Amino acid sequence: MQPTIESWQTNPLEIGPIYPWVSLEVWMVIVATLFFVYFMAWKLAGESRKYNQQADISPQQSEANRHKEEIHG
Amino acid sequence: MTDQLNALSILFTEFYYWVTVVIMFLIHVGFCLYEVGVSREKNKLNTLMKNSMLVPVITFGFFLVGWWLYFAMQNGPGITGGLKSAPWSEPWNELMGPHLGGTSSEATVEARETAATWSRLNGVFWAAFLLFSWTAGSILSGAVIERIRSGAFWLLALLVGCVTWVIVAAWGWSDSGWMVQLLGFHDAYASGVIHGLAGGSALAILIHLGPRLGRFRPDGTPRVFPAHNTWMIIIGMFLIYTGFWGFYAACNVPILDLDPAEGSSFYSATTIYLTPTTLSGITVNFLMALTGGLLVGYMVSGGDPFWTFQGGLGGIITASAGNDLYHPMQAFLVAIAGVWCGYKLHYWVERRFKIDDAVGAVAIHGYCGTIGVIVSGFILWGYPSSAQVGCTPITPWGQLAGAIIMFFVLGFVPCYIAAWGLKRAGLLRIPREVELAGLDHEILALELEQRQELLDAEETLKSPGVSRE
Repeated sequence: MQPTIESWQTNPLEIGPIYPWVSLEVWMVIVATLFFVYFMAWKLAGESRKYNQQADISPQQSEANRHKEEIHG
Repeated sequence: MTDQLNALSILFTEFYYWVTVVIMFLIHVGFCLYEVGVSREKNKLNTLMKNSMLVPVITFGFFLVGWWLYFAMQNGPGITGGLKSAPWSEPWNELMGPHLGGTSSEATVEARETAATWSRLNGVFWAAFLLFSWTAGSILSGAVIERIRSGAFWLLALLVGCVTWVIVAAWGWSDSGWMVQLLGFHDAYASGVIHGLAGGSALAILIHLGPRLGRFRPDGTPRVFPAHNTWMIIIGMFLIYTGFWGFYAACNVPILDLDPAEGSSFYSATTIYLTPTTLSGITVNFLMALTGGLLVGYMVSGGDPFWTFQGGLGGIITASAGNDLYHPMQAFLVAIAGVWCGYKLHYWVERRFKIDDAVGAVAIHGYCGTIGVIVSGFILWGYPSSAQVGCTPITPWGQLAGAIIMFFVLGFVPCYIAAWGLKRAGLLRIPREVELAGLDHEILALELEQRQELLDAEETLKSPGVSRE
């Protein structure tokens, strides 16, 4: 792949973007957005799973907590 | 950038905003320390991660849509015009990356000028606005600690930090925003634009979220949950004060030629409305507002450290709307009035509606910010709201309308709907069992287990017949 800048010995007034892969910006935004959406979905689903498990795993503990709450408000 | 004076102005402005961003970072460090300090031992790590992770979440959202919304929405759209074009703010635009300002030889004069200016300033402006977005998210974060799910919180922070506050800023915190043009709205250091809006948003979320278990006694009187680390709160608050200097500086344009005449120049710092101001003037007002807030916070709370420090912050927030123009004594008195009202309102709302705002965020940001916007309408009545010729002057009713739009229309309503949806989907609040045990209960259990193992080992060594070697 061709680098955006091949030499700095040019007229600086003609230099625009200096990062690689110029013209692929839209694709980079799409890929990054997909990852971000995946991250949020992963977090929401994982959190639900974890809390449901924690709340159900120990019904005795659950009962004890309810009792504790009734006493302490 | 061939003209030397122009080049110097642009490079100075670039460096100026870069410094403000670094200072403003302290606001977020302060919010983290403050929130974790207020939370109970059993929730501290979850509180830390919930707040810290809003940094990447809001940053990505702001890169994607927030920056573009700020420019595109200034006319409403549909109130004073359509969507505005701002290609430099689109996430895929070349000017969002490192760029030296050069354009192709076929580019128009306008495109050349845009590239020359925005190649140097786009990133630092973006970052300054982003740090305001983090602040908006952090304001919500403190209010909802110890019972909200992190995922739900991040979605709500995205809504406020990347959409609602940015739209309000486009409308009322830009010299060409429709609220400035039509209402004469003026809010120089974001009393309502950030604090009022975020406070209204927090209140809406708290209504659906409900109080922490045990926060109210059966007779309805509130219990105080002691903070787990008072020093974290105090250091956090001082860092927020420090970061606020950067916040104020970032609300200014550092150098601009304001002389309309050809051939002569008058260079000054300006507000975001491009009206002249001085860093000297706003520095005195900042400190006098802090002073007024600290004094009245101490007095009204009977010397309570939490409310004294919160009072200092509330004082700054109340006076911010007009701190570009106030006399220092006005900043001082406005701060006193705002913090007194905010404190009283906090306890009235808490008792009347059983709202559990863990850090007083709705009071200090929401009520103080909104009061500050309204009060500035009376004190600055008749002043030009922006630098544009023939602009609408500041009026009490213009400021009141702006305050309602910020606190209620774009603050309260969108978050009320979003939090309702999350609650319906069962994604808003953690289960009661987890809340009682604590969000860090797995880590606490491990610590207890390790401590028990050490005690057991000690007991074994003490027992007769066991050698220590």
